[in-house]
Amino acid sequence: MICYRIENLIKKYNGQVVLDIPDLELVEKGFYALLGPNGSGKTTFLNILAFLDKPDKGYVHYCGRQINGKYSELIALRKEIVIVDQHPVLFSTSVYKNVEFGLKMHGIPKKQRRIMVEEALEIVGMERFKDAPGHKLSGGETQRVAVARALVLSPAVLLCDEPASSVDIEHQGLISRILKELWEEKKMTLIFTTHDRYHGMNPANGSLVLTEGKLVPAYYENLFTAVFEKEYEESVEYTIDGLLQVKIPKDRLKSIQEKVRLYIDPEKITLTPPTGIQSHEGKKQGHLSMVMEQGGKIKMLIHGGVKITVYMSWSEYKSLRPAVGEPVSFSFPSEALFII
Amino acid sequence: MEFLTDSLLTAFFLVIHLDSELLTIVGTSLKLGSLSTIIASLVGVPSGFIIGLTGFRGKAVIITILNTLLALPTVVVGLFVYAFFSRRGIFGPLDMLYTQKAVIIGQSILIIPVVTVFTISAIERLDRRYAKTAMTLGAGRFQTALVIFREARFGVFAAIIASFGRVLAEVGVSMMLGGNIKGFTRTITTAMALEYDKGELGLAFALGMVLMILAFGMNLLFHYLRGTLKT
Repeated sequence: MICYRIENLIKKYNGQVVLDIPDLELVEKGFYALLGPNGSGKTTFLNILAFLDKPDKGYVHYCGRQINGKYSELIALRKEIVIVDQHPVLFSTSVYKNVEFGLKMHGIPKKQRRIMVEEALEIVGMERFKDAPGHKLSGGETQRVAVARALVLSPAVLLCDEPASSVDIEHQGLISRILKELWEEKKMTLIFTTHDRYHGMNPANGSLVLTEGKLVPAYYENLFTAVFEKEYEESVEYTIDGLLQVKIPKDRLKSIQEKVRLYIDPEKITLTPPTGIQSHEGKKQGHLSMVMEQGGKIKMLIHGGVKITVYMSWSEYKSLRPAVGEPVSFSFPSEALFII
Repeated sequence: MEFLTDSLLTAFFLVIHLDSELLTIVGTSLKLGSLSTIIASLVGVPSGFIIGLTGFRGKAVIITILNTLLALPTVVVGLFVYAFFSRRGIFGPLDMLYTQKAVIIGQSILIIPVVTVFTISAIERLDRRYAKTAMTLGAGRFQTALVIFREARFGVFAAIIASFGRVLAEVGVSMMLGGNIKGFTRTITTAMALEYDKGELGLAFALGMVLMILAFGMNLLFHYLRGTLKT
């Protein structure tokens, strides 16, 4: 089942297009990450998905219905879809009443509310703070209560804007775990945004990447602006930051432009131990500056004049075992390049 | 110098012994001031709330006019309302001039802009996320407005207290519409003006002290409310 279908959506602020999504489908009970740098339109998109904001053009279909933005319709939708803000605010009442608020709005009887609130607070580990004034909690505690306040409503769709951003490292893991467990248990549609892949939770239905209001087909790491260098018979050479040469086959380019934006898919980059021979055809030199485990894969950061991110499997990593600081060679096929 | 110390001593004596004339005057001031503050709040808080929450054409103009009215001299309001209530005015037949009602009406008109403007700013200053949070949790328009009101309540209280202070300290409206009738419309400020005319500063100083104590008390209340509401 399709949960959301986006059709030719345009959102403008002060005449400027901040969101431009021609076509997108999100499946029901899916788990998505919405990635992108700050200011890329993630929050705007989330607000539109939460039906708190309207697109200037185009349509949002929800559960197969085209949503036209009638008041009664929006009120009904908001009872199914809940958004947790990047920096949530709690009402200046007790933690208990904060969590209870939505249930009241949903018309749940008092007795049931009590059980549900206590259960929700327990899930996020905040039951001890039941009577504490909401606006006096720390960032991490606020975030947890905000999650409880949303999940107590058992929404069909839970939208989380940068769920880990206002939280210290220790609690980032906690929030991620809570969200993941929630999704596994309650089987809701879960969409969260992040500007930092490190906090990625390996979402089951993949990542959507927004850059300057547009969905782009690849990771937003390894996103470069390349400048025209030379033209060959079958390819064109571009350089990134004047340091890293990239050859793009001509059939991948619509026309030869002075500048192109391109992605290098970090999963398609292969690493080899340094051969010692400089400038081997297609091989770039660099040194390894960081290695970490992420979502069952190994992430590496390589300085090859510019910073390149590489993802590889555990087995590949074990066979190579490159050490941080050591020189490495890397190469990528032209299929790893995406021009936008 | 003796004049000043004598007057101050008399004043001190009057305050300490809760002189009955002093009490009547203070009581009248508080009664009239409270009633006009209540009326002004009943009009000003909802209007400020609506203006603050909604966006409409001419909103900026309305706010500018209200801000101008904030600085309105009390005698101008007094004169204006007098023109309506005097024998030759439209409401002349009601025979309301020099009554407590007239003072309350005049004072309410004086402070409705104060309550309204401060309420507008309290609402507009409030973090937009409160409304957003209420809406995403399923609140309708009315319930969202209630949440906003609750979160802005400190600012609204401040608006009410500020207007009560303005009413207690004003002299133009009370004098022109109340007529400073002893035991009836004589307020702290009109009594002070009269005593000054008479050249007897004892009671005037005493009333001045009470006024300052009231101002101090209101500030205390204000800070207490802010303390309990904010932290």
